[in-house]
Amino acid sequence: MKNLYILCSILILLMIIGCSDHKKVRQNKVGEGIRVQAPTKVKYAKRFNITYFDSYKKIEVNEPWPGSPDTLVYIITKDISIMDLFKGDAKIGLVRQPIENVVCFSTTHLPFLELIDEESRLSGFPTIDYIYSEKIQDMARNGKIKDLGPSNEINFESLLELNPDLVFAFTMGNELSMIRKIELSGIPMVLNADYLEDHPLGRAEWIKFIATFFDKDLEADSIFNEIEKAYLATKTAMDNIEKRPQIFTGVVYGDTWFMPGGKHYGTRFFNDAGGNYIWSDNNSGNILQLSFESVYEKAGNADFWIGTATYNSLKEIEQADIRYKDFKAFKTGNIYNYSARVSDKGGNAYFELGYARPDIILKDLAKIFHPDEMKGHQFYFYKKLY
Amino acid sequence: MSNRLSGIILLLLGLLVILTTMNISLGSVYIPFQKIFATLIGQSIENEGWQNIILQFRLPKAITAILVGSGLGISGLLMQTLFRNPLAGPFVLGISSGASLGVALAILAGMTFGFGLTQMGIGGSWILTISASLGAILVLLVVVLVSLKVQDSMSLLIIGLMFGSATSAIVTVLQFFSKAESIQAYLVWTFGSLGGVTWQELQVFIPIVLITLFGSFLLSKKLNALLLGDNYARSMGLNINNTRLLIIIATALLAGTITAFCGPIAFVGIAIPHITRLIFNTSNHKILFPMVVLCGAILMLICDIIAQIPGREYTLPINAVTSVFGAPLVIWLVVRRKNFSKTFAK
Repeated sequence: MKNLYILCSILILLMIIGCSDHKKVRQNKVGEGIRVQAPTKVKYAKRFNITYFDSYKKIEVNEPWPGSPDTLVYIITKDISIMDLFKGDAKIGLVRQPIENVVCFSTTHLPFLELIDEESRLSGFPTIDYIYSEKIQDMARNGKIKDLGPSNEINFESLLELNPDLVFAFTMGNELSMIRKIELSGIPMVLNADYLEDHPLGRAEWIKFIATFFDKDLEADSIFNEIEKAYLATKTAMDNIEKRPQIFTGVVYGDTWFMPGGKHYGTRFFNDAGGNYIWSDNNSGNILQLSFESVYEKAGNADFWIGTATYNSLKEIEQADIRYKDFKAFKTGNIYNYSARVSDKGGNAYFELGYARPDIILKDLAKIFHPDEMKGHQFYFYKKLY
Repeated sequence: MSNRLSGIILLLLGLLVILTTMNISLGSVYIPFQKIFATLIGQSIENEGWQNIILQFRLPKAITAILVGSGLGISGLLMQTLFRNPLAGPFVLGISSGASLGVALAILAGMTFGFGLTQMGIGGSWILTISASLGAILVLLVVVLVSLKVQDSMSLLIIGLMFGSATSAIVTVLQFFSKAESIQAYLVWTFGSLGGVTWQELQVFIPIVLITLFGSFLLSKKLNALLLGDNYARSMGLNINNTRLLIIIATALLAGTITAFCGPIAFVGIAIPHITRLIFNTSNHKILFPMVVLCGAILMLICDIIAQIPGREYTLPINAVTSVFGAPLVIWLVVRRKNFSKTFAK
């Protein structure tokens, strides 16, 4: 009988210990730090969210690649004891500050670093040739940035050798094995989903995401506010204009004309700049795959053709397919492409700085559609084709 | 010619006319039939956009479909007979691999290393056409040289296969080092395209395909002899090496030109000769030849109509249609005719 008592007591004791232990872990997972007032608020971006605690920050990235059901959670802290607290949870990515040495996988991440004055932290990039920024190209020439090889298959050993404090990566969902490999190596990595935002200001707002790792939240906030102000000012001015020219974009590849849907990121630019994008009524947020004749039927009489991929002169367009000549925009010479700033090696400022500075893209487009209203503005990303 | 045979031929000819009309009438944009008819007989209609769609988009596309179907069908027939192998097709000699390599070099390497043909003053779609032709010609030259050396057709088949593997490996390496956009441009090329051929390009395309088709028709008798085996053919006084060379050149011209203008169109080259043999139940090339031309044209027109998804703005890549709809058709025909092997070589 006595033995039974002892056994019961031990069991009860074990249960209490077990419960309290369990409770402790669970509390930690919720994040038992004291929440503090957020210095910035995310307004347009839908894919990330930052929560501030007294000794760490929690970042969530929703749907990090198209169709992903996951929400990724990252904890950023200077405090090693906080890291120990979260260590057991495989679903949480831990990032230890300060970040001295960073690797980016996309050119769209670079302007954010430059805007918050942290570009000197960049130590590696896949295929440096694709970078437009002269400042970063200079750094590369001085041997400060290591080329990590083609972006679809990073040179893993070079990355390990660099041993960065943080990798800003992205994935379209088709090269997850590489992402997993980096995760397993123990190099801290966060996935950016900037390219999935459907609002131009949403993409630009990812400056706050990048900046928070360097504790530059306030700087990022004020930079973003300026960009937002400039964007909205142009939009408001253009909203009042009654006469809106008809716009179409893209070119034929094979038998298919790739045209942004009505809810696509690019569509908002055209309409906010005082244009009337012909496929605005469409409900898709993706790129539509149209037949050449249906585009010809709808856009044959459109006023402007904006964005011609790799074609940079009327002659090239005509040589590619003589039927392009039948478009009114071709006959009137109203064709513009986002190729005003392209480096010798093919880096294009539009695909790099364009994400961070939608205000400039909008001003360029507004100047194309309504030149009289935008006399003070000089073209930055776009140029007229001759 | 039996009554049944002439009946089938008349039926197919009628079908060809109907399908050509349907192909021109159906598309993403709805155009009333009277307007299409008026435009085709040379009257001008008030809607200039429609007129352009019919004359600049649909008519060249229909002509391309007919030429592609006939040309690939014939080159498939030539290869199946030369190798006496039902699995052979227009591309067994590595011609499409050579063309792919040419295009991959132009698109992928050109963009990566910055020595695109654009800098040489050759623009747009001609870049792809010229690089595909160069690639195909290069492979052709090697195959011809080899064919003069080896006596046996099977060795040629293996060499063609090896070419295919080697070139696709090089293409993979090029893709590995290329930007996403150039890879996409290359992939789109591999999907095949009938609508990219304009009148300008048809001026080159039509004569090459027609002349080669006519030239290879003259080989019919020799092909019949080849089917019975090299030794038998030799005993009939046929110069095997000479004939083989002519067959290779004809195939390369047809398949090479078509691939250069339309990309590697999958499946039809293998399927059409089989379909024709099964319908006519013969292996006589004098009948097979014109009928492969007819069946190829018909099948390609049908595939193109499906790819257009009439009435919708969207399109499907032509290669998806040829394989998805072509494969079940061949399976059905083979299952229905239990004596399939007999139709191949009697």
